[in-house]
Amino acid sequence: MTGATDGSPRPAYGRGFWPAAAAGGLVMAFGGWGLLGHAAATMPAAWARWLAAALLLHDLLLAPALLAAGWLVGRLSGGWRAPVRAALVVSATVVLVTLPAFLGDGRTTQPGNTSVLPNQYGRSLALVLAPVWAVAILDAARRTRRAGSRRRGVHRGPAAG
Amino acid sequence: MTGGSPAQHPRATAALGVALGVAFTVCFVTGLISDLIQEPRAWLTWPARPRDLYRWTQGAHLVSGIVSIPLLLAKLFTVSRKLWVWPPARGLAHAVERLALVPLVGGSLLLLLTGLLNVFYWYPFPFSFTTTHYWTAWITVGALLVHLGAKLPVARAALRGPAAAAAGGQDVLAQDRRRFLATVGVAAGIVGVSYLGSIVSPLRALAVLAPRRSDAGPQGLPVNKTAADVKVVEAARDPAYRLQVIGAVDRPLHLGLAELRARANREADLPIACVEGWSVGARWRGVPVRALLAEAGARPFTHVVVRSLQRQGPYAGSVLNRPHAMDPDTLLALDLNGAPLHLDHGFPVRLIAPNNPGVMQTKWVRSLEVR
Repeated sequence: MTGATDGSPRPAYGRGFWPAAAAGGLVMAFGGWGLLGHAAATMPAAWARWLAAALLLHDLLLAPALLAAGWLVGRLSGGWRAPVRAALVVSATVVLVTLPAFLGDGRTTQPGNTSVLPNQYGRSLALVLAPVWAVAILDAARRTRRAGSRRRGVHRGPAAG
Repeated sequence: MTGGSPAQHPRATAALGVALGVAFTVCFVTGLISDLIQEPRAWLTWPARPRDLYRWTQGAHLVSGIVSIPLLLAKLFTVSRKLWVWPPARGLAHAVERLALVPLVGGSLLLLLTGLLNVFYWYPFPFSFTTTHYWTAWITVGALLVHLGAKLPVARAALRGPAAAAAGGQDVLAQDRRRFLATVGVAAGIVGVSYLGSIVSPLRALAVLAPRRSDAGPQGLPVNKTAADVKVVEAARDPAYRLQVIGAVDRPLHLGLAELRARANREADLPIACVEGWSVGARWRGVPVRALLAEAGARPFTHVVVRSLQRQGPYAGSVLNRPHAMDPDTLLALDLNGAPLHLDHGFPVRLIAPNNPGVMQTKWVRSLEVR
């Protein structure tokens, strides 16, 4: 099996591929038929534009930004790399899913409805991310200190790890 | 593989693929269930029991959708270098597999994006959310089947094969990869638990990231549409208000507020479970629909149409199937948690039934028509 190594010259397909592709094609056709059949609601042309935009935004903006961030983190000194990378992944996720609260107009759609977006989302982000970064910084300090003592040849017991 | 982050390893891709596969399956099935209830089919009579079933299926839809966001982005990250392989296709099967990535990745991104925007009440897209979300899900799941056909053997080998055993050893790269997966798991866990907070009342304090809190609203209960928003304030407060029980009945009823109050003899603990995922339990007091049907002398019926004072919009009415209409806990509620119903919760009376989507718990009820 060549699947475990990337960049194998010839992708291998099991016997199940064509039946699965046929079944998937049928389900996709059903979805496409429904989408076109309800064109007044789904607006297929606008839908296609949004689908293309989502792909392009991801492939040309978000993915390169993640790769660039990964590269930048890779340039940090050893002890900081892993904790900062982890804290960034969590932060990016949390910020991304909260973004509609900041950029959207949800609250203005129903003035006076106190149930709509009842949180203060800036405060929420601080509340979630402060402990994440505190743990990351503590972890980085611990790693840096441990690396330092290893360089100086200090041996520590397993309990201190 | 030359260079690249340890995260960009087939083992990481396969592990994320399995997690994403589970999340997407839960999301798709629960989404279908919600659609089946709201657009009833002849072959399915949605039961009134268990009481909290819809609460959990729709809560699962919300949580599996929100955790899919970090899982999908992480999975795409692990394969991002493959997007630019050259030549773009080696043979027919490879071409089919790669072409299916357009509806698969595009559809997945669109589903998660529109779902997220919808719960935040932000509609920058021109198409209708529900219909488009539904059909996009079918297209995406079809593309997912093609993808599984191509990748299931690859993923199985990456997770179980002898090469995987070697790659899964104690080396630094494997450690980095596990750390990456754990981090994505933590990120998904944080958003997932926060959204769970808008469903599970004891976790309410954790709902800091969610667009709803299950206690934010009049009488400590969320409101989806206010009375002012759907322009029913005047009609709801009109002293001439009468509830009508009509249709296939021997004695049509026209009951004023005092007459309804005199019949409000049943209490029930029932959740409001919104299609948007949030839910909360409450104690309701009101008139059992079953008792009203008996009093009106309802003839054999298949369903009851519930109409609101709200004349416009998709939620101006709902349909109670027979099991829901006959359930003893299905009420026209006048009280909520021991106090008269707030105008925004549907004063003078609202429908509340077990195992019923929130959008079908019609507020400001003006008539029950037996059919």
